[in-house]
Amino acid sequence: MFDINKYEFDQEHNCLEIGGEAMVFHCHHYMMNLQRTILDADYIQSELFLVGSAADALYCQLSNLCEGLDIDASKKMAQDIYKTFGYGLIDLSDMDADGIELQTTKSFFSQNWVLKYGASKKPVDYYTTGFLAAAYAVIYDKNLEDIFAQQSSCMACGDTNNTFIIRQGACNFARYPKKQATVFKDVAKVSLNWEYEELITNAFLGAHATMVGNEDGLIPAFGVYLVRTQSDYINRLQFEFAKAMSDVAGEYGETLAGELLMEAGHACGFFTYGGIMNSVEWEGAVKPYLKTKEDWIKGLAAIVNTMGWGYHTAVELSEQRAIFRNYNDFEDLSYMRMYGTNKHPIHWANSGGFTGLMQLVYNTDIVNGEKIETEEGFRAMRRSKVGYKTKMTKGISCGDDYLEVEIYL
Amino acid sequence: MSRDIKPLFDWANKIGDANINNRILAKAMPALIAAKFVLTDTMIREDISFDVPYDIFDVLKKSAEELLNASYEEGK
Repeated sequence: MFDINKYEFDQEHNCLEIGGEAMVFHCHHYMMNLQRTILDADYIQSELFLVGSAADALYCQLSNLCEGLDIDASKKMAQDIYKTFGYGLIDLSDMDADGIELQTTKSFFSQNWVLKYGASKKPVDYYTTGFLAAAYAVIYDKNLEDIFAQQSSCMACGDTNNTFIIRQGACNFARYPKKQATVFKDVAKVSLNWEYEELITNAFLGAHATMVGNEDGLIPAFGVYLVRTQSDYINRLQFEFAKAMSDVAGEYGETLAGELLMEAGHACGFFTYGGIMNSVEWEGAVKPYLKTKEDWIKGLAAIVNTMGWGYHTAVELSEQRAIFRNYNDFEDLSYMRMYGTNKHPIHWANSGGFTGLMQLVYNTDIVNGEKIETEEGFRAMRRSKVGYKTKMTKGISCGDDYLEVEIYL
Repeated sequence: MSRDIKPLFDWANKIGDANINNRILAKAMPALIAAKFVLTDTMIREDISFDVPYDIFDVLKKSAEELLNASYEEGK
């Protein structure tokens, strides 16, 4: 099994890097919502970047992790990170210099797609298609440009397993320029200004390492399925989708894309943060220190600051209005590594997550023990007439020192 | 000739996701742009009725039905 503990959590920047790739957790609600949003726009050739984003991130990561390893050890490394990160199970033993036809019945994407949306008309495991293309390229020293990768059967379509065909051939996914190194924004941080912050954060430091794939290669936690994913993979999906929508319809398209991308963040905030607040760990280690609803938000921030998403804090916080910041947030850092700077904030997942958190704490009865877990509960919350509005005001990729978002009624 | 889209979106909201308005708009976006017709979630939510040309209505109806895998019948 791949040992996460060999990779030290960067407490100064609240991030974790493995094999040169920043890693972040996302829940199946976010991952499925984001992918469905992209696929809804069927006039965009999204398969190119859905596969290409994974292939690019995994090629970079596996190139580092497999350096100096022989073919068998490299195959084991690829299999192990796939399982450890929560994507399911793959067996690369039949891979050779000509490629592989791989079958599996354990797939985060295919299983969770059915769980959330029911059957699909098309295969949905684009990530694994890109993952396998990258593994083949790294293990057999091929250029990604010369690899054909395809998913030919999918459990989400009713097939008995997922089948992937990886071989030499004309490349059928997007390729991207070399990325820049991570540049952190080292500025003084405004803290949560909460007396229990350090206590809670210290209690959960290192807990991320316990969230690894089980015997099925899945990470069930807090009532959701988590994946530990490459930040540049998942964020490139957002950026490429927004760009494609902008290409079709200019500012209207980009604005609409932003609204949809933020919705995926809402789902994450509602289900994952709600799951954390309903968990045994929260009950034992956090809840005893919570007196007000604002404490609930600060307690949540103190925990998620140990998960690799940056340093979350609130500079204003009330039921009517909140201003949240994230120092060294994963979206902006990804954007700058891959695209440089931008004129508009692009941190839709963070901002949607903060908004979901406000709705969760102030628009549900979670602080009094209400369970937060159903799709209907999510719909009811989102349709509430007292819904919060979201204004993304600052972003590191825009030249600011931190991400900032205003959430208000 | 024009037609009110509010009943269509009310129906979609009754059986669909919380963000179904934006999903429908995104799916119909190329047709909306081609017709130089800008429609937003806020416009749909805030207006009591919203008339659009027949061809735009048909595009929105088709998009909604595809996303929801259901047929829209006005008045039901």
